[in-house]
Amino acid sequence: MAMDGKAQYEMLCGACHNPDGKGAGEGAFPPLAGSEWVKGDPERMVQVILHGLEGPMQVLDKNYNLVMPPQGAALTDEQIVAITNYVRTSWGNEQSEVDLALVKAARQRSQGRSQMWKAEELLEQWPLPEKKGPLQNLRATVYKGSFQSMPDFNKLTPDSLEESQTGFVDLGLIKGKEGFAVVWEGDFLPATDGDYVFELDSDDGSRLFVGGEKVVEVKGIGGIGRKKTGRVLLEGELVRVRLEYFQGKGPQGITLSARRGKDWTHFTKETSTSKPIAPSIPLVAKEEARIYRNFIKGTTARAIGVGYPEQVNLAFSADELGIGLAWIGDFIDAGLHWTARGQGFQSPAGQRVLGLGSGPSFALNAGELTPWPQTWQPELKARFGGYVLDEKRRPEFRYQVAGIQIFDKPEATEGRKLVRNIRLKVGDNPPQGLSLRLSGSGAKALGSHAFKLASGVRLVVAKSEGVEPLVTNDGVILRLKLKPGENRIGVRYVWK
Amino acid sequence: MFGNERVETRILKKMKRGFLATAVSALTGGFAFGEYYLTEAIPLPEGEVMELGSIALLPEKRVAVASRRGDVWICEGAYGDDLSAVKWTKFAEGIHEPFGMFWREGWLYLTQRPEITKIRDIDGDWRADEFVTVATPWGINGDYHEYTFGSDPDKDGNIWTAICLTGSGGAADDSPFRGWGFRTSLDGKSIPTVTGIRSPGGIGFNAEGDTFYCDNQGLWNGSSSLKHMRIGGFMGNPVGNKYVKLQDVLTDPGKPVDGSRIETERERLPDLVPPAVVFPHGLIGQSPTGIIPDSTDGKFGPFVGQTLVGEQTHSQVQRVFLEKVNGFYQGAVWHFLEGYRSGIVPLRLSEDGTLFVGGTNRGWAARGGKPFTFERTRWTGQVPFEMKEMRITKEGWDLVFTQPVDAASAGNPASYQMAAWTYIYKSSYGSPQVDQATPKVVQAQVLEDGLTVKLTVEGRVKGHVHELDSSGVKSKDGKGLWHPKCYYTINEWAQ
Repeated sequence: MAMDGKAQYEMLCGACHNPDGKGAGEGAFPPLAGSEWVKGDPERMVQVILHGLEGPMQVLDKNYNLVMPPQGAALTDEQIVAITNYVRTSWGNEQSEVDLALVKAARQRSQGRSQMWKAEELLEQWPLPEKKGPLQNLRATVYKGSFQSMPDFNKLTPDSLEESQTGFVDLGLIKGKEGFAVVWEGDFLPATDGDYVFELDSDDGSRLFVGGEKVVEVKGIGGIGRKKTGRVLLEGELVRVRLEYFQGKGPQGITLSARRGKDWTHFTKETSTSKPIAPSIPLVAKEEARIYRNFIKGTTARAIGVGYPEQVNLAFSADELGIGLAWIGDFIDAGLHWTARGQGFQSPAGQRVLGLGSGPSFALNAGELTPWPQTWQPELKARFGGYVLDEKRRPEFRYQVAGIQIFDKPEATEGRKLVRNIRLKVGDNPPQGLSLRLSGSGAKALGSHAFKLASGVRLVVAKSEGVEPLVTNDGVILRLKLKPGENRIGVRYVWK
Repeated sequence: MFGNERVETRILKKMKRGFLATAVSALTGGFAFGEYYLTEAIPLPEGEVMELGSIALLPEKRVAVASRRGDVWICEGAYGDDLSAVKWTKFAEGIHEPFGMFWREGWLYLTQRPEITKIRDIDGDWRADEFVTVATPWGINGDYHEYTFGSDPDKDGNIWTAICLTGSGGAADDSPFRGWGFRTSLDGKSIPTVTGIRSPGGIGFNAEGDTFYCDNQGLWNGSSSLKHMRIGGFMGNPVGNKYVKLQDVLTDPGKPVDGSRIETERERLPDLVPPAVVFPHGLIGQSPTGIIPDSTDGKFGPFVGQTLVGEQTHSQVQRVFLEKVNGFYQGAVWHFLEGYRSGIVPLRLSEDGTLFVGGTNRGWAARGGKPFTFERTRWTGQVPFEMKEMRITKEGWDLVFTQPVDAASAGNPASYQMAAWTYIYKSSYGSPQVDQATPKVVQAQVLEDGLTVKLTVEGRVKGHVHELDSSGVKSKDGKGLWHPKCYYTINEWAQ
C-alpha cells in the first residue's frame, strides 16, 4: 500500500513549511507551494530532504537564511517518495511523481556526503528551471564605442541586432567586452493596473523609458550600488519598455525590477535585491547608555557592547578583561542577531573603529622585547565579575587579576572622547611586573604620556607615580607600580 | 511510523481546532481548548518582540520573562482574572540569549550564552543595576548554535547547565566543554557532571528533584528524548568527549560503535545512560524543550508528581510518567496540551496551578504560527478520562487511570494494541524506526479499585519504545480516553 504522503508531510514537514505549503510563521519560513525549488528535476528536492540545506537562498524572490536539517538518516526511502510526491502534486504544484528507484539512486549519488547542502552547490548540479522573463518581443541593439556618458543613439550606427526569447534583459553575449552600449526594447504586460516602482542599478550608466516616458536613470560612470527608483502609473495592458545602457571600462552589470505593492517583477536574472541582507534593527543610545551583549566583530565572543549617547561606543571583552574595540558614530545594528538564527559576528555600525589589540589585557613581565602573551598567564587567576550601571546606565566593569580587585569605568564625553578611569584595590603584597595593555600594535609615542593610534585616535595617559607607559611592538602598555590600597589609572582616547 | 496515520489525523484535527480557537482569541484576548484545561494568551508590552526563552516566578505574584533578544521584563497581573490589566516593567536588557532564569533572595539568576549571571535592582526603581558573573565554566566561540540551558537550584543548591555542541554536531577546540553538563553552586563553583549532550532544548527536575534535560534528534540521537543527567553519566553523543583532558573529575566514557543500538552499547560503555523516555520523532513532537514537575498538590489536575515537557515545533506540552527501575529512569509519554500560538520553550508551574508557557518560532518554525507568545493554562476542575500511569511489572504493565474504567472493555485484551521499535545509534542525523516488534496484550485484569488494570504482555523488547494504543478502553460512564496512545521506553526489566 502506498504511504499517505499528506500525513507524513503534515507530521514531519508541516511545522516549518505549513500544512498549506506556504511556509510557517506568516512567511518567515520558505514556501513549497509554487516554489521553483520543487519544480523540474525532482532530485534537487530529494537531495535537500536527504542532506538538508543551510545558508542564504532565495525562494520566489524572497531571501532566507535558515537551516533545514538532513532527513536522509531518519526517513526511509518510502517516506521520502511519499513526501516528495505529495509536495510535487499539491497546492497548485503540478510536477511528475517520483519512484523508489529515483530516491535510491539519489542516495547512492550522494553517499558519503556528511555536510548539509549549500544553495549554490546544490544548484550547480540540479539547476532551477529556467524562468521566462516578463518582456515580450524583446530585442537588443548593440553599439560599439568609447562611452563616458549616455550617447545619443540616433547618431550611432548599430553594430548588431539580437532578438531574445528569454524575456530577460541580459548582457549575455556581450558580457566581458569593453566599450559598448545597448538598447533593449520589448513589451511588458503588467499583472494589474496601478503604481509601479522601477528599481534600476547598473555599471556604468542606464536609463529606462516606459511607454515613451523616462522613468528612472543611473547617470555616468560608476559601479553597481547606485540604485535609483522611479514611479509610473500603468494600465493593465501591454506597454513598450526601452532600456538604454552604456559600458565604459572595467566591470559591467545591470539590474532592473519593478514593484507593485509587495509583488516584484524582475526584468534581469540578477536582481539588486538578490544579496540576502539581514533586516536593520539599529540600537540607539538616546539619553542613556545601552548594553548589547552579543558576538561583535573585532573582539572575542564574550563581548559586551556599550553605546553612549555622546556617539562614542565600545565593546568590552569579558574574556580579555579590557576594551576590545571602540568607535564613534552609530552604535550597532542588532538585525543580524535578532532575526532568523542570528548567525555570525556583527560589525560596529559607526566609523573609525579602533582595535585595542588581542590577548589578555594584563600580563606579567611584558616588555619592549617580549611579545605580549595571547592567552592568560595562569598565575594571574583572571576572573570577570560583571558590571554595575550608574544613573545613566553606564557600566563599571569589575574583575580580578592577580588578586587585585579592579573597577573599570569607561565614559564617553562630548568631543569624541572616551575617558577610562580604572581603580585597583591592591592587597598588602602588590604583584611585581604587572602590565596593562592599552592599544593594539602600530602605536607611536607623541611624548612620554601621549600616543598616536590607528584610526586617527590619540591616547593620553594621566601622569602618576603608579604608571609607566611604554610603546612596544604590540602597542602601548602601562607598567604598573602598585602600592597597597587603592591605585588609580586614568586614560583618554580622543578621535581627532 | 507505518500504520500511524490514524493518530496523525487525530492530532491534525485537534490542531485545526486550535487554529480555530486562535482566530476567536483575536476577539476575546484568550482561547480555550478542551473542557479540561483553559489556555489564555497574556498580553505583551506593545511593540516589543518577546521571543521567550525563560520564565521565573517572583514574590508577590510577579512573573519575570526573558527574551531571546536579551530583555528581562516583569509582569504584574499574570495571575489575575482580567488579563487586559497586566502591567509590564522592563527590568534589564543586553543579556545574551538566556535560557534559564529563577529568583532567589532578591536576585534574578540567568543562564546566558557566555555565563551564569545574577542581576538585581539596587535603587528600587525596578531596573536592574548590578550584573554579577556567577560562573563561566564553558567556552563560546561565536557559533550561534552554542546555546546553554540552565536549571533552578537543585536540592543541594546547584544550578545545572546543559551545554549545546558547536553547530549541529561539532565541538570546537576554542570552546571547551561543549556537550557537557555542569553543576554550579550559587557562589560560583562548577563541577563537570555529565558528558555526551548534543542539542538541549530545556533542563529541569522531576518531582523527586532529579535533573533531566531534553536532547533533540540529530547526530548520535535517533529520536528526541528526555534524558536523566545522572552524575558522571554519558548522555550518548561522543563529540564533546575530547575535552576530558581539560579536567580531572570525569573520565572518558569511550566511543560508541557507529550504527549500533543504545541497548547494545550500554554493555560496552558502562557510563552510557539510556534516554529515560524516548519521544518518537513526529509522533510526540519534534523538538522537546522545558521540563517541570507537577508539584501543585492537585491544583493542576490529576497528574500530581508527573513531569511536563514543552515542545517547540508542535507547540505543545507533553506529560511524562517516570519510574526508576534497577537504578535507571524509564517511563511513558502522552500528548497533553496543544494549540499554543508559537513554539513552546520555557515552562513554569506556580503553586496555585497556573502553568505559564513562553514561545518563539525564530529560526525554528512551529505549528502555532505566531513569532512569539506568552500564555497561561489552568485546570478547569474537570477530570479527563486518561491513563495516568504505566508501571512496568514482571508480566507487563500496571495501568492506572484517572477515573474508574468500564470493566468489560478495560478487561478485554483486544482493547489494547501494541507496537515496538528502536532507533539506530549512529553518527549521522536521526534514525528511522527499526527492529520493529509487535508485543501482544494477552491478559487485562481490572483490579478492585476500578482504576488499575494489570496487563500481561508477550513480546516486549528491552531498549525499545513501546507504543500502547488503548483506544478500546472506556470509562465506567462510557467515555473514551482523551489521549489513547502513549509510548513507554523499556531500559530495564522489573525485578
